[in-house]
Amino acid sequence: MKKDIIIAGVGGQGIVSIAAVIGYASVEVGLFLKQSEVHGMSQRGGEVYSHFRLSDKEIASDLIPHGKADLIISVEPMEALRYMPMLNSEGWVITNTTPFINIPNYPEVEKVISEIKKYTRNITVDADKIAKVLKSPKSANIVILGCASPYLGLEYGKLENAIKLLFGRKGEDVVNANLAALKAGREYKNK
Amino acid sequence: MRITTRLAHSHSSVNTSEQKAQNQIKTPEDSIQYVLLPSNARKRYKKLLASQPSLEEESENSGYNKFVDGKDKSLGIIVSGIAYNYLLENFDGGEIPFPFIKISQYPLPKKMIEKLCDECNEIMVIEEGYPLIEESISGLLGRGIKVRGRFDGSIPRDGELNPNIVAQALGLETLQSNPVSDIIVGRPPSLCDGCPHADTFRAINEAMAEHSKGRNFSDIGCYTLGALPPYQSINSCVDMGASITMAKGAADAGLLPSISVIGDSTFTHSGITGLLDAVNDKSPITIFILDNYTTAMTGGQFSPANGRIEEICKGVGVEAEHIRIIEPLKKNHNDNVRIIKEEVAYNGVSVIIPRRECVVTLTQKSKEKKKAKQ
Repeated sequence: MKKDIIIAGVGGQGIVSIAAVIGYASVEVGLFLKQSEVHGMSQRGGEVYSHFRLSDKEIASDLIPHGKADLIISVEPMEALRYMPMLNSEGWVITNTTPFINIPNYPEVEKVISEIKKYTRNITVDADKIAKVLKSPKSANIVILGCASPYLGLEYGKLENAIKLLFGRKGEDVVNANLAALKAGREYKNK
Repeated sequence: MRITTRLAHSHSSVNTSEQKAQNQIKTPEDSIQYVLLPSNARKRYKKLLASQPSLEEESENSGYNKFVDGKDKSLGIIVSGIAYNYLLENFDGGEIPFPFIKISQYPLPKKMIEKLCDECNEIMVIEEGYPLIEESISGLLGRGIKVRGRFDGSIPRDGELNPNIVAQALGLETLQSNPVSDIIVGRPPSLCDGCPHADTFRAINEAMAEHSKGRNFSDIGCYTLGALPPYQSINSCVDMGASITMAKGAADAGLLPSISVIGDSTFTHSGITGLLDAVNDKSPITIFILDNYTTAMTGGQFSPANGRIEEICKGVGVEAEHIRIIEPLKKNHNDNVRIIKEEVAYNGVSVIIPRRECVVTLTQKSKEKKKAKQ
């Protein structure tokens, strides 16, 4: 079992939390993992990505080679498109459709979505809308993770455990909101 | 330990074992060995040199530096750190066909490297960052064998390595990958919405508009983003504390006015010494100490001079009437511009403290308060 995943978005959208949930779940089942990302000042409203590799064998490189990623999980559509050169020919792109527009020259959103849809293995979801319906607008990142959950090679229950572990110190409400977001994303995918 | 950016930004699962007990507290037997008086420093350097052969011996035999044989002797590889991970990736974590040395300890293991050169037609050095090993072995060998790496262009002279660059250097085929869509644009980092620094930069820009550009010496923090559009307010960021000292140097050399921008926590780290120097020389500079009550860039840690910045400035000798507090808010913009102009015109050291809490920590705190009430 081996999964190479690019997690993408804009600083502040919860990219590191997605990585942490997958990370905790992978550790629980005893998989090897390597994760590499940017953070610090470079994240303030800028593009953020994480290279996330999990495998049942030891992993060599901290970075995924170009054209080798099995999955792109993105909380922002243009950021999903940015990492397409990383994706392998069988790879899936799973992305939010709500753009994060903090630059004056953001391209037309419809164009971005249609470029993404040129790749047949795509799941596009308005995760912000789903998160708002759940009255937990900040958990759009976990909705996306829910959509991606069948492709991770990890049991769904392990992701739930990981959410409990990661958000536990923030209290029960935050844990439940994120569990609901994960479920909503999973159900959207299965529809 | 040679830390490179990627190494510093990587995580992995680790195997844990029992924690080692703390070392016993022990003072040196020779009570002046750390006193580097010239007479002692000369002695210590001799001692250091004398230990070199044993360090070299250690380097060959400790097991940290590994010589791994390979069938294909057309190339010998010297690799270190994270570059080893990329090399291994290109052979699916399996056997590497070329003989190679993995460097994990200095000094470089000269005998191992000579053996590699004896056996192979060419040497390639793969290392992240500056080509330190590559440069060192050119002197070490002096035998005319071709060394490939960052200097001969086999690997780009600058920039971060990745598995694809290593594949290209080794002449391995790399996969065709999807094209980059041409509608994508860059998304540089920026100050948060509502950030106090943004209001400060707007006020500084307006107050300084009558002077030519290039006079604002700054430092490292979130406010370094003031170099980018739409502010383009600052002109330097070199190392912590270099804001005040560079402004002083510029003013002393005749660039008037010269101003400087430093964050509250950077000020305590290494700004106070420079401020004292400016006060002693009565250098005509205006220093902005951006007080957002926190060390924002690294995640909102405690700021060591919280609540005492004015007192520190007074203690260092800045005149009380030239320590001005402003609140960086849109509604105060005109007043703030006026105050900045007044202090920039003063022929001595002025400190302006734009004071308003970081919006990130403010939001966190108000959430915690809300929760406590529930």
